[in-house]
Amino acid sequence: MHGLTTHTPARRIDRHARIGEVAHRRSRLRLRGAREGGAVSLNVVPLVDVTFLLMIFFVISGSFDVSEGVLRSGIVPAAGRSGTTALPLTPIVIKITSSVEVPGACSLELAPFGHRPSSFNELRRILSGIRRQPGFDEQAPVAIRADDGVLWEHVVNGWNAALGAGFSNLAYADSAD
Amino acid sequence: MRPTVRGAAPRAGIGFIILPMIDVIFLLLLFFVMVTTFEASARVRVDVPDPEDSQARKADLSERLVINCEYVAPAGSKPFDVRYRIGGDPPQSLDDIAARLAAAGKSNPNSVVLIRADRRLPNAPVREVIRLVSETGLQKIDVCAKQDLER
Repeated sequence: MHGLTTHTPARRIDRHARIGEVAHRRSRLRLRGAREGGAVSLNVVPLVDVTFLLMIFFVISGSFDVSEGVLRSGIVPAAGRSGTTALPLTPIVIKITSSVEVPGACSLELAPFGHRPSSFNELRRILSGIRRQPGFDEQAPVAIRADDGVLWEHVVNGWNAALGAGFSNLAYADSAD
Repeated sequence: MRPTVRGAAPRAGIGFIILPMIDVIFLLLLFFVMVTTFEASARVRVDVPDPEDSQARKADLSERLVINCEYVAPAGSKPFDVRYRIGGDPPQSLDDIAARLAAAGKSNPNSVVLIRADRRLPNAPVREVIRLVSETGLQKIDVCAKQDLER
């Protein structure tokens, strides 16, 4: 018979049954694998990509978005002012002097009242009290006079205190005035 | 002969992969955010003062003539150096700035000048700029400070 092994019907059935069993076992394995995470896997590389992109985005936007604002002081240079506001009897001058002993430090004086606040918070409290006195209101001119060595930070602190106290008509006075 | 389902094979090949799309969208977003940030403010890095309980408010910088006073770290015997520039332009001398301020004052006398000065600078170099502004006839000067974010 052409050299081929002959199968009896019983053997053929047995063989088919075995093939079916193997196929069934294989399919069961595949299914179990899919269910248990063998075939379905989380591709982590794009996730890392997106995470890094988000990180870069927040780092860059965070560092460039400086929370800066404008002190709407209405400051005009004292020498060139041409305002029409009537001057009160006693204009307020915040004198800021650089400290000789401590570099970067400064001392404050409120003329002509003679107050010597020890901090800008105290300056603000005193200015608030002055604003409520007769002859002063929020339009009363306040001049900030700082000497050459005073840090710009202190000058801005001075006029931030004046604004915080409710004054809106500020002038930057030349220290030579 | 096994029956074939028309379109079954091509459907298996066409898939919508969303991750590269997200990648590209984020790249585009990043690009536009960066570009608009730089273009809108043309901000020069200046460490502006950060007052306690700051009264500084958000304002539209495009309507203001921004003068940056940058602190340049000490080199040699000099205690520090200052660089002035208008907006995001290259650094200029005080004379050039005076000329530009004069031109701005002529075209619009109501221009508001915004001084962005580094907090580490002494008062003297900033006062030079304020003096220039007053000489050119511009009447209003605002200063830049950090905002109080808790407000």
